[in-house]
Amino acid sequence: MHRGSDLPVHGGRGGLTAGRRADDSEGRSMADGHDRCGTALSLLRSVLYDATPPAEVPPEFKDVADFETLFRELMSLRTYTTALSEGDLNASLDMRGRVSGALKGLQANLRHLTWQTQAVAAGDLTQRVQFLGEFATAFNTMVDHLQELQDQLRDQAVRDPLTGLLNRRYLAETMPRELARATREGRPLALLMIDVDHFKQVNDALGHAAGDQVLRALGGLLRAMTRASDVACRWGGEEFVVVLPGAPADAGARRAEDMRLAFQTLAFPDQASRAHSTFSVGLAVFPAHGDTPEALLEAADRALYRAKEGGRNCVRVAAQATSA
Amino acid sequence: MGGRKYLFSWDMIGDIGLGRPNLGPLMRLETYRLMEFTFRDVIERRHGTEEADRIFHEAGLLAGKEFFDHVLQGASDFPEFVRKTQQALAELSIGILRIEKADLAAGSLVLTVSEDLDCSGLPDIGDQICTYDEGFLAGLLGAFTGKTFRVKEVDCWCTGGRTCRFTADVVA
Repeated sequence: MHRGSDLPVHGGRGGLTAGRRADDSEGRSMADGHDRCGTALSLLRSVLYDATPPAEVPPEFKDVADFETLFRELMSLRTYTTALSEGDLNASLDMRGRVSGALKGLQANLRHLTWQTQAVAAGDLTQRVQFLGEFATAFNTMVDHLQELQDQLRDQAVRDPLTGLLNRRYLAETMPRELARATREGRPLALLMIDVDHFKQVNDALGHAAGDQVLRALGGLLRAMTRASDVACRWGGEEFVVVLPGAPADAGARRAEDMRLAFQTLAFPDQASRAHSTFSVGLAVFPAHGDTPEALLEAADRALYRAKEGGRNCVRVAAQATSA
Repeated sequence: MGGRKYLFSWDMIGDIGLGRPNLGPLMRLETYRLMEFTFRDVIERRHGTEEADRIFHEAGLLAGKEFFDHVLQGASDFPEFVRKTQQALAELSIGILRIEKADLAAGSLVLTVSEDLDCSGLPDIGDQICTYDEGFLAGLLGAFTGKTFRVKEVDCWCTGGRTCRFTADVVA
């Protein structure tokens, strides 16, 4: 491309600097050339600087090769940059070259930024920005903060505030996944249903603060005696559920017994009349006692009832499921 | 297909750790481009420009599907697909992928690849040349969605752009 090279000014200037003597006709021609050049430059300056530049190339420049193209490209550039400055990211620029490429690159980055913000708004908090320096730092800090907030909210939604254990909602979400995994891996899964013995008496005799102390202590004990792969939940009131993936009945019963023994040795020195507490456990195992969350919970609940009936402070395993 | 000598399989990537204990898995980009553009030259000379572009597009499509199957497996939703793709393309120095618009319901996307392996830094020749990328992106999107995409490059380094921009639309 040699835009502007055909403008008469080059010939005119060349003639003058060569020092050739011009006759009247040549002088007029050079003067005309200067005039046209000046007009052309004014026109291009107008596109760059003025509020309302001419919309079209004047007829006398139509015959100057590439001038009209250059004029139109500058006009396109002007329209495009105006749109960008006003936040319109859908404008298109039918122009090639370095400046056009840089502006399109800016537009691409801004459009990607828009998409990323939309993605964050839709809940995708993995988006991170690597454009616009300080803005990127601020954006990424904001998303980090949102992620922390979301994690906290999520944790609050699935955690029992008194004991710090997971709650019934979490268990409801988790059990189908755990059973699906157990099925896939062909492994058993033990479910313990735990109920604090004579808990009502503690509350009635010593007050709710004493009852809360027992529940918090049991929560701490279950957290300490379960593995990362286990799920320990407060089921409601003084009832707790512990899921032990991979544990068959005998292993589940042994661990339940360990927990029971540990709990009965816990001391509550503030509760003079009841310095110790106990719990009863009903144990059901997948798949022997049920293959759905509901069936397992029911089986464990029935076993827990038998433990209570059998004198409390003991572990009972569910009876084998019988086919209908 | 009987008699095929070069039927592609991921095994052809080879055991690079075993085969290149000293040089490792990396090479200079010039080498990749040397191979790519000499291929292009010979294929174009023998089969014409359009057919050369078609061949590169088809090879890209195959590469995109294979890449998805072997590198991007497990993406469960679109954000995860984008994230994994961005990460893989960056880690492998293929390019920096950015999404400008994505309307999966309408089957329409606009995306860019900056610092593209194929074209970034090439002379301005006035034509989009990333036909391999078009196929590659169509292969990735097709493998993820199960639909057929037509991907078209609308801005390229070789037309003066600083980033390659592609439109992608479901055709079937």
